[in-house]
Amino acid sequence: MNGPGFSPGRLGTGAPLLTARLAVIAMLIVLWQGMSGRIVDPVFISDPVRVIERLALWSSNGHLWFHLQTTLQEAFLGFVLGTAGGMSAGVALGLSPFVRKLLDPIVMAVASLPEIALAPLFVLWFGVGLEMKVILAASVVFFYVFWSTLAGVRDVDPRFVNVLRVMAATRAQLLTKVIVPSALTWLYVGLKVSVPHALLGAVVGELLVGDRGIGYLLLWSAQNYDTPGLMAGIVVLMALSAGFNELVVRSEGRVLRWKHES
Amino acid sequence: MSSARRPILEFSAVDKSFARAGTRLPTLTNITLALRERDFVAVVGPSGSGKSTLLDLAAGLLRPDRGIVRYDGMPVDRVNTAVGYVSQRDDLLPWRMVRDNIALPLEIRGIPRGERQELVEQQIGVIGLHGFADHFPSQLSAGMRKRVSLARTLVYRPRTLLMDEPFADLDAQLRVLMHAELLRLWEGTDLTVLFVTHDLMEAIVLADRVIVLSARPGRIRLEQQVDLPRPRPVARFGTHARFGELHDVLWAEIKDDAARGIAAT
Repeated sequence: MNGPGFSPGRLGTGAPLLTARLAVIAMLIVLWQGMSGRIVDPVFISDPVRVIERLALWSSNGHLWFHLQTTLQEAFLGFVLGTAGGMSAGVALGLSPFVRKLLDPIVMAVASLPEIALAPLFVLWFGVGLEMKVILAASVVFFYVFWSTLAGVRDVDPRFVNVLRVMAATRAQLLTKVIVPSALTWLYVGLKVSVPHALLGAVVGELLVGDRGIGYLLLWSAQNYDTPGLMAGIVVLMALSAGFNELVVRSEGRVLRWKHES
Repeated sequence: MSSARRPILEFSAVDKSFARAGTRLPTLTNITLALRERDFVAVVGPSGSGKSTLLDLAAGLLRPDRGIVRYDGMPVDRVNTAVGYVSQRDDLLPWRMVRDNIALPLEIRGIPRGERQELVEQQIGVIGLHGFADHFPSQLSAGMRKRVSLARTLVYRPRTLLMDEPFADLDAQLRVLMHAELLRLWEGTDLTVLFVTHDLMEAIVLADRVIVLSARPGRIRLEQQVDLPRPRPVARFGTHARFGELHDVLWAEIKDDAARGIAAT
């Protein structure tokens, strides 16, 4: 099987890989279309043509942009807020062994809670609007970023710290020149997991309460036995998540360039 | 050896041990040693004789259990920022390119960007790594990384250099070049050097004085003056008659411990 056409190097990058991927996706879509109405009742799975029609309708009547904008805003704000909080807390606890020991049991208890379970409480505290969804998304993101930052700060090579101390670095310089850059590798692990979870937080919030967002659109479609609407909503979420993820991967490629060039 | 030069780095009756598996493992015992300004002292000894620990004590990264370490007359009770430390592993920050690694101590000292770039370029010339300034450490050989590490220390002109086998990974030719470069630098300045190596030849070529440490726990077995003229032609120094004598004297002190070290591993 090691003929020239099958060497992994040839399919590894660039246009051939992209073409192959598109072919797989096209095959799945054709399969879906073929099964619908023949093997499975379209009430359960709809079919690609109807889903595309629905997307076209939503985009022409403005529904798509309105709900997409809402979800995007919630997920993005939640992501930013959760990342900022998680990074700060991770660095603070990572740097102070005393604070870490003090708070460890509390942090563990709170972290072991599925954050989504806090949603009803957040409704009580923050209402049914944008704030509640942002906070829910942020609370999910917070812990992923927090854990990875904490791991990153603990993982900093003490040799680097000592080298800089002998060079007369201040505490602030140790932080900006060694600890944060070193923790970035770990942080990106957390960020990649956080992206879909920011979306999850926003969508769960919308499913629960409110009158807008892709989550609301899903719920409304389900309540009306509108399978094409449900499927269209899921397609939109997938595209959104993939787009977010691409942004994180690209920024990782820039920030962690030293890892990939060797 | 003029006695007018003042003592810069002094160890007085220093003991140091480390906690290991529930007990204290003594590493250095009763070390008394003084370096005057412009001294070049080499420390040799078998593995585990506490050579690196000696440097960590001088850098203030470790505290002695007993005795005292003084720098410029003052006890070293915090990190000693007057020294430059070239440690055994190169310690380059992997996310910084060569030029930014060398610039690091200058950034820390708040030297303006323009001046920084000038000093960095100059150092890159000294270590002969033109064309590698924009490489990451992972893209360099071990020997190149050692040279960058050396440049990063020399660039801020510390008064005292602590060097832990800085040339161990270099090939023989490059090592001779680096010896010559280090001696040239040292001869032109007030630099004081404490140089750890397990290469006797290297110690004799470079130093005014060679300290022989025993196997663990390290104590000073011999303090030998290297009464060879300077400047020294490093490349063909091995042929010097006195060189051979000194090598024999030092080897006689070190060989039993070295053999025991082999038996122990």
